Amino acid sequence: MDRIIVRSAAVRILFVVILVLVALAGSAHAAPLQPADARPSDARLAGALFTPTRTNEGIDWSAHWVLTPDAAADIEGGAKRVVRFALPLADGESLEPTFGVVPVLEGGHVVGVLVDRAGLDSRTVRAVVHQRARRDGTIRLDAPVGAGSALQIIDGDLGAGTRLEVETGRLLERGVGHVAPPGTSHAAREEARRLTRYGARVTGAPLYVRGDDVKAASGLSATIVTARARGRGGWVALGVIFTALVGALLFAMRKLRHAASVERADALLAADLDALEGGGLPGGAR
Amino acid sequence: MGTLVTLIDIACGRPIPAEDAGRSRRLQLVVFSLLASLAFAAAWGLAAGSSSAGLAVANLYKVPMVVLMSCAFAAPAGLLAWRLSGTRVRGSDLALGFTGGVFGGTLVLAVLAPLVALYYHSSAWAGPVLGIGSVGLALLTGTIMFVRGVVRRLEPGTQKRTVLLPVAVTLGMQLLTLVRLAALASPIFPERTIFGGGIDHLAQSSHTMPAAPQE
Repeated sequence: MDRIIVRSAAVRILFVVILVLVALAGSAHAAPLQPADARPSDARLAGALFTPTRTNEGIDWSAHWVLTPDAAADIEGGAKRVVRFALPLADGESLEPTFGVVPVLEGGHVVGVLVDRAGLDSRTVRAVVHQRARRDGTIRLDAPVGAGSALQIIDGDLGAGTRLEVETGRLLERGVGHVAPPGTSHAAREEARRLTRYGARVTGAPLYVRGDDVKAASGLSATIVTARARGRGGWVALGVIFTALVGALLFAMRKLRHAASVERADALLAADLDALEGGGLPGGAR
Repeated sequence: MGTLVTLIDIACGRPIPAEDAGRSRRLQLVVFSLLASLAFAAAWGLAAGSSSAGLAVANLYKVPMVVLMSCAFAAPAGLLAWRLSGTRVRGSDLALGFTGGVFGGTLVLAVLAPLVALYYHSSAWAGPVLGIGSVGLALLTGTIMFVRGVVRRLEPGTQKRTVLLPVAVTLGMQLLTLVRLAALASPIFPERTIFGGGIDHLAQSSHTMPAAPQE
């Protein structure tokens, strides 16, 4: 009888443990309000392009995510897919829903966009992300970057010579005309540009990033730098050199005046003497 | 005034008179031509920025600065090329040819300054066109004067092509520095021009490739 009671108690405890585990697992998947098997799976990205426009509040990012052919085919076939961000949008950042593209919320933050057939243009999904500049004037650069290992382009050109200057750190290195993760080949950048139809530029403004790197670095930060601010240091140095050069020229002019007039007088005198020796009149007249 | 006339004669490629052929006198002509170029450039700057008082005053030092600094940055490269090329032209002749070209170019700017100012006040598009056009004309004139001035003062029997390397290096350096300095000094014109963004903007304008179709 005792064994039966003990066995029964053990079974009861086992049931309770299983129940607790099931409840925990259930609560973890409760945010989407859908059964686990009904959740739309994530779409894989082939590339992306993010183009900034400066606004009074900060930056508006025009995001173009290019999906892999199979992800695009799934959506074309009627499935819904999530383009997941490398990092959730932060406070002060919002996504503007468009037809067929709606934000996906997790924990109160936008973690991606849910795309259906209406939101797909060939293989491209488009959306606009509004971002406020921080009080110190810096901008988060990771806002709409998609998750995964695809090389994505952030255009840092804000027009009129104003650029977003990213803090490179260990994640990125500055190349000729671009900033990219170390070891990124020319072919990879070319492919990213081709996919997103991004024109080849040599301004140093394009920034190539991978979602995985952005996630590992917990985000990227950049500052808005105008052309005037960039040239200010050089301008001051040029002003100093210019003043020194003009001063040196004026000093040289003063110093040379006497020597040059003596030289000139000597030359004229020699010419006159030559003319006299030759039977002519001074000054070259004959 | 006599020095100015001598400079114009030299810039036009006439032989240097015997009384002006001394070392100190040549150096004096080089210095004088640079100082005169600054005055001419300032006059043109005043005209180009005359639509706004602030811009006109700023151009009084900006444009001469661009001219003088481009000369200062180009001269060492030209002198090195002159040495390495082993050409049999005198260093003072090369310097006089160079400053003569700068003198001639800025003289063109100064001569066109009233026209630029007049059109900036009376036409929305002719002013900027004339402004940029006058710069192009000045560059062309300066280049021709420099090349001609150096070639005509070559020692007899010296091949002309031997002097082309230092001339080309000097001109190339000056052009590159001019583009960058003009961008640093921007705005010189009231309008935004292609030169305002510097070499980045120029390269971007010429290198932006048509987009390839996405597959």
